[in-house]
Amino acid sequence: MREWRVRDRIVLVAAWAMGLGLCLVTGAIVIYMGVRGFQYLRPDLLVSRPQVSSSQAGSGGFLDPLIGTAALTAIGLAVALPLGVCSAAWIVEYGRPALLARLVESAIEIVAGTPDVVIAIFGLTIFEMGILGPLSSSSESGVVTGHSFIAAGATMSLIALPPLYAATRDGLQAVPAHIREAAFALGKTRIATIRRVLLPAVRSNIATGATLGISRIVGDTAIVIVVLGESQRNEPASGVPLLGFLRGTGSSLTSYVYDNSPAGEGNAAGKAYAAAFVLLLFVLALNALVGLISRAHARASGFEGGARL
Amino acid sequence: MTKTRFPTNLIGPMENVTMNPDDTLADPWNAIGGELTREPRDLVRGGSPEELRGAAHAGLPEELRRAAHAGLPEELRRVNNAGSEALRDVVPPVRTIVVDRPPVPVAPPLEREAVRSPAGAGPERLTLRDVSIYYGAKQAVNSVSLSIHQGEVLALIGPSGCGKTSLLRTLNRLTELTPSAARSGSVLLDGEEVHALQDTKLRSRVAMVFQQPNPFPMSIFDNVAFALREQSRKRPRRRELEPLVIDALRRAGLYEEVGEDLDRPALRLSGGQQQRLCIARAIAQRPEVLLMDEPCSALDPISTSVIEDLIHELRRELAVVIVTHNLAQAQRVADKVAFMYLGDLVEYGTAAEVFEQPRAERTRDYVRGTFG
Repeated sequence: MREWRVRDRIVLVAAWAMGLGLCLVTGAIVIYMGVRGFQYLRPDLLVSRPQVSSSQAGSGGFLDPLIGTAALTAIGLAVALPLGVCSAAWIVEYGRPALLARLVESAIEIVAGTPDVVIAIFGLTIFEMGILGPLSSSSESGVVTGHSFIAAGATMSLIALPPLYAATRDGLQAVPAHIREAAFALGKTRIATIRRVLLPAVRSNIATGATLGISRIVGDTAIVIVVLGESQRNEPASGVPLLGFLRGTGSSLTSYVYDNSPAGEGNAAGKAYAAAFVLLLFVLALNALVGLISRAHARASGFEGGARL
Repeated sequence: MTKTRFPTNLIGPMENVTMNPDDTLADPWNAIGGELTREPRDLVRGGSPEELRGAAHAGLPEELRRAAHAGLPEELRRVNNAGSEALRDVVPPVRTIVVDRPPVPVAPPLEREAVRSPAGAGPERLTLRDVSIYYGAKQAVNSVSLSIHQGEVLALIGPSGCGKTSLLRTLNRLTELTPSAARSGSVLLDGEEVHALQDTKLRSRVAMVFQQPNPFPMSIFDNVAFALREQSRKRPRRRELEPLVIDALRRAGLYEEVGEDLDRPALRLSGGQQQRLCIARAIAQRPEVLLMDEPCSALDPISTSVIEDLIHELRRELAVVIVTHNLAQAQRVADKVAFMYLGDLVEYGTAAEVFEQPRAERTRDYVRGTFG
């Protein structure tokens, strides 16, 4: 046994305790949700739509919120992915004029620090404008409500952007300079280098950032309530198949959990647990997927520089 | 535990080393650029005759002494020629500055006598005329003129920080990536100023291999194919590229080793294989000139000899410029050798000339391993 100072021992014990404590909390959440989920989740909840009913047996499942969450994720990511990746590539590979670069950097930092409910209000303000009327639903008198999947997805992209941007930027910064030099020495332009060498090299970082972004979208409630309209069912704005759905209102798993929790108007705790369990599974599956992607990428390229989640 | 022994046999003869640190610091080459910028005080410094002789022989080259004495009265020159014993009495030339007198034109630098102009093996590919390179206010390369011919290997040798790599990177305009770098003089590729060419075109004609093997983090095939894929609207298909990729790998002597699986990640190859992959990537576009910046310094002796053989082969179809710290390697692979010191081109000639009959004293000391 080595001679250790008491203070060092305390720190060591504290570090172990904190780590184990964190695992304990996470484990408790997962296990509790798992038990509750298996207790309340029935397959028909996943495939039946919510119903207006006075009894729990008749109020249906959460097919619509499930579709809503998937749709919001898809739209949010479709907007945030090119935005985050391109701005990160610009900052790292061009970054000039320096003033503009600093401006972009701090803009993204501010977005990252803004509470999602503030972003939601801002999104609603934008999409309420008459000129953007075709993107959202409107009331019978023709007033643009600003509630739609498009509006909510676009607003969601703002909260998914910062992690995506940061992960891509860190990945690009970790690519050694001689890789770029090699591409330039082959007579390739900067943009060809970015597209064909650098972005493929940081694919696992982008995947990590995308997962973090998706987790934020999936877990967000404020934007669903404010911008999506939080209708119990997905209500298409018109009869056109996909466009009507995208312009219409709806709900997500998070808002469904809230509504069915004892705090919400539904007060059906069993259904809330079931939906929360599905939400948790969704996020865990996503994490596993990213781990798989980045490991496969590392195997295929032999490049170990990528960040791990 | 084994003890690492310092290989004393690698150090050259030490007789010519001047022991006073001043002698190595006071660089006589600064004085060679056309005028004397400082008094050659080594000539008059006191000390034992042996020490003085040492200083006169090694610290100062023949050219400087001649340059210094060109301005001396006839009798002093005679005295000096009589023998180094008389050096003690020599009065250094004192420069007087008269403001309103027109400038006296100075003789072209005598040091350039060491720059020979041997006949080239093939057509001239690159011509450098008075190329100077600056990083901000610091001058890295000072007025270098050279010509590089197809079918021969030119080795740039010299101690660290003497501007070899800067000169090399200027040939394909890679120095432009350093914001503070500036260049004067002209570099001609087949008679055309390289700055008049598009940089991407230039770099596909003047390819480069770096010190550290730097394959891209993708498959072997994609590494070579990346060089070949034109930035056109339509990407060529793999079927079209495959013969070109295989040809480049074959010319780089790598195909026999990796041919069965070109989809393996390039970063899984050994260091020597990676460097040959980088060579394959560089020669895939059929460049006219291949620049190599110490291509073997990160490799083991076996990989090094494989790459040296490769350079011998490649010499037939293109001009090779190689920067190397390894004098033995320069002797093995080079047809022409250019010795640079502190940004100056000190000596240029065929490998045999530079290594066996160096004209400049600096070169002699360097190739013998007394400094650098």
